Amino acid sequence: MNYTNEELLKRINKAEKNIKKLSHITDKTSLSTEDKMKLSLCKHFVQYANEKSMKAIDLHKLTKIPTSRISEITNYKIKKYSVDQLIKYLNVLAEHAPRIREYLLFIEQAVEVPTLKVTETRKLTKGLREVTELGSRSTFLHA
Amino acid sequence: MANKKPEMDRGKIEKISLKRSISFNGNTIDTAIIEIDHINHGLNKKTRKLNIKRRSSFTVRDIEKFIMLLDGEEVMADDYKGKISQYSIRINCPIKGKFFDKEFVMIFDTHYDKEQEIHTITLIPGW
Repeated sequence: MNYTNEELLKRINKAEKNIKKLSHITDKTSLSTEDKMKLSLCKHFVQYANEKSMKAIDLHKLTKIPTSRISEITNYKIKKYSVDQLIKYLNVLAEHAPRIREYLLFIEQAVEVPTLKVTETRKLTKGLREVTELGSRSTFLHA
Repeated sequence: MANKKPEMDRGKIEKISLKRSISFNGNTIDTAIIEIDHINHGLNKKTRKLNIKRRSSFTVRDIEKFIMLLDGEEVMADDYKGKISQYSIRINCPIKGKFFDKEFVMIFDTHYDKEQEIHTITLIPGW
């Protein structure tokens, strides 16, 4: 990563100019359930963009969602959006991303599940956590 | 690891193994390359060289603590340069006694072929 100092100064200058727009790394333990959900929904935009090496402008060209909105979503400006607005935007992205389409179907199914016994819900939650951490479907099936 | 070319010279650059690997953008990172002199001195906008006067006194282990805060995070790159993803984020200082809880902008890179590495370029005071 051999940058000249001039190249770096340009990058630093750009970051200083856009400081308010940058993502802020925050402690998530004190967040409300709603905020955590919003962060998780925003994360799908970020994952998709990173996978495809896309910038906000590229996501705009693909989805026609305004660049400023995409920039806010991908920088986790969650106070500006409600959960349903984020799901609406995720639905737009899902038209171009089969993985996100399936994920939204999964959310639909999960929300439809009736309230289970505490132990059963805990088992499901544990299974989901393991899948997230290990990226393995088989673990989920054991839960 | 100091670079000899004057237009690229940013003083001491150290490579360390993280005490605990972290997950960043789905990749497991266990190594950090830290431009420690750049972080502590900053670049002069006119001369494009490191400032003589220090602006902070962070050690590489202090910077490691900043990097540990990225564990579990997913951040969108600002730009891509070949296989390099460039990031800039706002982060609060976790070092007690050294600008504790003050906001910094951290500028760093990851490389597609070296997914276990993070290259921390600089920290700019964000206040």
